Amino acid sequence: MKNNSFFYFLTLNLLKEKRRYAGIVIISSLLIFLLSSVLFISSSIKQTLNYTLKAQPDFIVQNIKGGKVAPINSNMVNKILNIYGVEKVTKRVYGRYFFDDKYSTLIVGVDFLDEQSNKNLETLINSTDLKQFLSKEQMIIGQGVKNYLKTHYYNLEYNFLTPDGQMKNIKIFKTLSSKSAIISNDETIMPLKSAQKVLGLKENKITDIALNVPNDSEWQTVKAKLQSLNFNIRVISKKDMQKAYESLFNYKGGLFLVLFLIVIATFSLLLYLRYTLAASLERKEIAILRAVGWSIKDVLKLKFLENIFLVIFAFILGSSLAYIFVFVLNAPLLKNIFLGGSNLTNFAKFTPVVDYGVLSTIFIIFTVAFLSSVLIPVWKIAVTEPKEAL
Amino acid sequence: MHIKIALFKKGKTVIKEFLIYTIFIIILFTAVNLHYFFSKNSINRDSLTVAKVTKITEPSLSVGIFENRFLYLDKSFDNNVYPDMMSINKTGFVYEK
Repeated sequence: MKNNSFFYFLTLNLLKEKRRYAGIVIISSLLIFLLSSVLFISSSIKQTLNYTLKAQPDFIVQNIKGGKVAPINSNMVNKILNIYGVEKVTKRVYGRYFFDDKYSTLIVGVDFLDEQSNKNLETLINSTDLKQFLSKEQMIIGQGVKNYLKTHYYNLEYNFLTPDGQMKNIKIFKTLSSKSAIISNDETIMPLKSAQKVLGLKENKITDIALNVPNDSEWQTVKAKLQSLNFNIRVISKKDMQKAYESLFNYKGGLFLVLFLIVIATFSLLLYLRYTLAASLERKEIAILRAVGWSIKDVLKLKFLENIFLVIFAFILGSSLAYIFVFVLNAPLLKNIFLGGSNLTNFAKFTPVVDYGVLSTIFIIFTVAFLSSVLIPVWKIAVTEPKEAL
Repeated sequence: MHIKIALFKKGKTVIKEFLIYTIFIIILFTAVNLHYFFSKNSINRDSLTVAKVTKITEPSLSVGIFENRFLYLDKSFDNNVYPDMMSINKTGFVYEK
């Protein structure tokens, strides 16, 4: 390759006007960086949620009053258990507890004496600590809650104010890892009875009921049977949840894709204008090459290789920096667009997910727009007589 | 011919610079791919463990997910120009379908 004079000329050309090309590379990288960052965040959240959906019960039964979720009687569990094909019927108690008029935590009550919950809890906290955890009324909190409580000097315990005006003191046992913060950042996990007290629920009342139906083909029948239990029952299936997550994050990712297309169109227009109107230097250069005997094909080949190098350089630089920004630095600022920023500070860490299909689509869209806005004016100059062009 | 010689003379130093940029890009690309290869799926497992205990898989959005955005108020004050427009930071709007 060292003996190839064409390649020497190509690299010389690129490095001769380093500043000009650097400008193009920086702007292009910035565009790629922004779009890739958004798509990385979006696909990472979607992948994590799809993965955690494994733990999502097949159906959730809620009691609806006035369009809002109302507490449901716990004896409904027995009615559901009588339906053929249903298993793992679990009482769920959860709800928001507001520290003040802005910041809130999601209180989740778990029946730790339940065999299934007990096993999972063992994995969550060290099994050696399990006895110690169950000996007192204690809670496990997410990173966001810990951060809020710490700033308010509650390092070891917190006094919850129950709706009936009493104080409920619960000790902090453990903080959940920031690796799980994407779903646990604002969660406070405590025993079921404590959660009922904090949320103001009577002993026989729960928030909703979760259940599994192992046989997929029975889903429709079971759903119909559940709905027939009471007229004000709402049944949410796992599929509904999946669709909801997909729509939510696709919607936000899509918004950025539209913005990207607008920006790329503007950028291409600027490049086109630069090559057609402003750059008389470019015009001269092409005319000289033509005058010394270069064919139109050679000129186009030179410009094509020059610009494809710039595109590849900008693309790798932009997407790599986006990867580092999202998966190493955890996307400061941009994270809030997806996870919100009006409640507790989110300490979520994103699981590295690279969607090669989406990345190659961006590359193709970007390359076609970039190269056509450069090569068309170059071709126009190359076909004119060198005398005229000069 | 003259141009070619001149290019060769200058070329050797210029090529070095070009190679430096290329090597930088290759290193960056390789580093990112290695990081991806070794760290994918590492964080998911922790989320799954928590979800198994709570049976709740909703994302921890920094907003009121199941409740109104602000306590005691049934209105979003996000957008002053279109106060009736639904906030996109709520998962609730998906269920409106």
